[in-house]
Amino acid sequence: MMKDIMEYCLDYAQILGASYVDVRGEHYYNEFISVVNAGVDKSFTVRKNGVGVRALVDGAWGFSSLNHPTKESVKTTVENAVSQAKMISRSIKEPVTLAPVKVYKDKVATPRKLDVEDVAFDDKIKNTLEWEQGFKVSDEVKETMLNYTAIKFDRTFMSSEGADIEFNNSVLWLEMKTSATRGGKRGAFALYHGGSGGYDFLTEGDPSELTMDVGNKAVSLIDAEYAPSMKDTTLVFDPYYQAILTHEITGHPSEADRVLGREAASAGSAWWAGKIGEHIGSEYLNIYDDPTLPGTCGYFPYDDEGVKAKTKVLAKEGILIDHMHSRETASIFNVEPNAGMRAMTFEYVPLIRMSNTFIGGGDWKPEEIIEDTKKGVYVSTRKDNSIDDMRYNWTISAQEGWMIEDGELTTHLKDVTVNGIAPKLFTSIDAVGNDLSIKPLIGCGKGMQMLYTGNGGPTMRGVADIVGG
Amino acid sequence: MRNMIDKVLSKGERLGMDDIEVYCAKNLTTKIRIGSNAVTSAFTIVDEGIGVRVIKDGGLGFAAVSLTSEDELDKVLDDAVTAAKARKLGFSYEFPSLEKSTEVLGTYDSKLVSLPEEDKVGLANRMLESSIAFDPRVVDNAGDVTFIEYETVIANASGQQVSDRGTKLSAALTATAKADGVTGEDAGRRQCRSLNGFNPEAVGREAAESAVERLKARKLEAGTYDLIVDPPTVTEMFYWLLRYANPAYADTYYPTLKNKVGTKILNETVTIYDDPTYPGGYDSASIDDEGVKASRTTIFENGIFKNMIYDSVSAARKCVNGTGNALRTGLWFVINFSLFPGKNYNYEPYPEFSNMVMKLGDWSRDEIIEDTKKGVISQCFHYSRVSQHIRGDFTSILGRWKLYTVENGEVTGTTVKCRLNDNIFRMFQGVDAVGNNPLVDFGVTPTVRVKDANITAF
Repeated sequence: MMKDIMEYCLDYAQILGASYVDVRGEHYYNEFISVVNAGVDKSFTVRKNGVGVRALVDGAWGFSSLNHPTKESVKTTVENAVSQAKMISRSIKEPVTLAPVKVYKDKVATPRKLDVEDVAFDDKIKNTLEWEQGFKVSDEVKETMLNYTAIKFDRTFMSSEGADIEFNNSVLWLEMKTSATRGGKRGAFALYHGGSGGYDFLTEGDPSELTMDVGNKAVSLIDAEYAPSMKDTTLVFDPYYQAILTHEITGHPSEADRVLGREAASAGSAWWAGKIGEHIGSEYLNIYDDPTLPGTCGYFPYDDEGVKAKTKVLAKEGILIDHMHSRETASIFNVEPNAGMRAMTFEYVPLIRMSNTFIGGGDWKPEEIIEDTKKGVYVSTRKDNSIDDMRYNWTISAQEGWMIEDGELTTHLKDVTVNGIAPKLFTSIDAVGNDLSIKPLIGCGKGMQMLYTGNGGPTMRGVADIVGG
Repeated sequence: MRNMIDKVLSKGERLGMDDIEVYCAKNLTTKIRIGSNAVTSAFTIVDEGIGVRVIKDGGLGFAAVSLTSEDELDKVLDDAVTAAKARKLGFSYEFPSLEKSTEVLGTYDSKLVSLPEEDKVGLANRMLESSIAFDPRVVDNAGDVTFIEYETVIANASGQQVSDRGTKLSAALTATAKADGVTGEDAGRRQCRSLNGFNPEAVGREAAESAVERLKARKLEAGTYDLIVDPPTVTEMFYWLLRYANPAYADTYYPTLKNKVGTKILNETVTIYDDPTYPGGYDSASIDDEGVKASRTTIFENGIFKNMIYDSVSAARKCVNGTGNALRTGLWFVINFSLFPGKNYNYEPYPEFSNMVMKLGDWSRDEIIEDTKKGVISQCFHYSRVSQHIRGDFTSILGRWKLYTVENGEVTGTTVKCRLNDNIFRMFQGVDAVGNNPLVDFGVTPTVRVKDANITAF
């Protein structure tokens, strides 16, 4: 039924004058369970289905979406998309052109042993309650929160060029937060665990062990000290911290719409605009965006323009190579489209977004990097971040860290706030570990849409400032 | 919409719910985008659906579904009942009584609702052309204009029903000016509830004029400055401070003001209200997202912490009266949240602020500037965060847009971006001048001065 409606949209938009049209139809399911202090605090399900129609008419875009479409109701949706594009076309200065791509017909379902909807909601609540018990490693653990989220979607992409791609996926994650107190002192710790697959993604491991680790971390941070202010300090970042660092200062400025200045009023722009082919960092800096990694939050086989997913090399040995592109921006930059377009759901127009963005690994063992550091700070796991709109100046706080003295971890630190300048950090990188890993990063916002990505990197050494409290 | 409500209520009654509440939201959102000096695209989202809460045997459940079929209505009720079985509240709770209320003045604009799509594009074009025409040094513009129409209906098993409707408009334009190898970028912005509140030419001109000014921007030396914050940016400071007055955050990771009601926390110059009844307020509404009649709550009075805000569940949990502060958007970095600017049916209510309103002082903006020896005026905080929740360490980018230096009582020029590294409590303790110049935009605030803010250069 949905495909009939989508085909109708394609045909009708072309009759109305669209030179190109694509339609995304989707059945969307989201479930959420929040267990706070051993009791269910929230639990809900959300179901949606609908279509989003994007039409290119006389070189301009129009887009319209609708819940629960019928052949009758979707007629207006198509008319809206086409008429908007026609209106816009009267004022555009440069008509949109789309870089050519190979057209695919394909069906892809993320492998899973246990579909999210095949497990009773009751059972998932019971599991979440059980996993949450892991936090309670001691009486000092006071506040606990375990949030379980799953998003499952059946998405079909069809275009007037003949594309017909079905993608069935689910993405799941656990958000673990806890705090512990002793006397007047407090420690807190939070961690995400997530990826794509079935419910078995969670049950094949033991999430109770993860919550136990988080509880232990919170307790250990009670006695940790606050970091002093330290200017131009040698820092060693762990892969969890690298996830947010690479997301914010390598991923976002790689979005070609930002590079072009088109997001300047909202998401922001990019300090490295116009620097393709130039040195932006040391020879140890390699940046990738890769949606082809199965099991990650940023996995997809085709983007939301039907472009086959591929590994994007964004920077190689310190030289800026490429950006993330839509077919439109690829045409502007005269490069091949590289599958950079994603939409949160059918309701929203696709935008250039990260998939799995990370800094490439090197050949140092993580412990070798620490041993090789005379004086510095080991920075571990993200907390909060504040980044300027060009992704040049960044402040990202970490939940914990350690002083490094003569190659050894010494004083345990909490709430380590790091402030840096992106090119200064990039050029200072002199050691990259062999422990590259991709972490889930939930809650990346752009253009009204919240998305989940994978981000990460290896243990890495560079220079930035510590801002003391 | 009303048909769906009746069906859900009668099915709920047949299934033996102790109580049932249906929240319906219908949104029409249109966004016109500007990029590379041209209006480039438009999109429309039509979104309609229901969120159902049920109370059954002391449990509270919630589920949501978009505009839907009869089968899916059954499913949403089943899901809500399953959720209710799992979540036993452990305290006495019933849905709020629904009391009819009067639409807040200036929150619904029939002209905006009937505005043809072509005219929406036309407004975006006028904003853009005004910027381009201002000065030949303006070489690029990017931005958008977003139009929102919404209608909500809340009904319960007792036959009570209330509704609200509203319109919103938000516009932002960033202009880029270039001359002699120097680039200046700045913006014009406006958030309002009606077409009358939006002057596209003024926003375009503001963006262009500021961008041209930025061509002469100087670097700011790191140090301590009196920070003059113009509206609506003051609301950004409120946003982070008031997390500590929201039980959803205070009970988890922002506990500093827990059990501090009655304590002096801020400078006595500071009085802050949550006021959804403010005419034309960007987040004004006649009811909250549980249907509770809107009313004003004093949060801080002369620096003294007076009240937390509550929705009905958080109030029942604490055995206090609710304050009518239910909102259905999720909680930022606590519960998965929505950036959708209309009304969300797919979230349970959480306590959240509506319009943050500051009591006016008696300083004119000019007097504040004249009285400042070494300061900066900021009209934009970008990407603010509390980086240490207990202490309230606060950081923000100043000068993404509009940052001026003040020396010996005079505005002496624009400055490039820098970073504010301070503490949100210290900043409000340092507010020594409050203006008499309210702006109704995001919140309703005047100009304020924060003594001795710590600013670091890029």
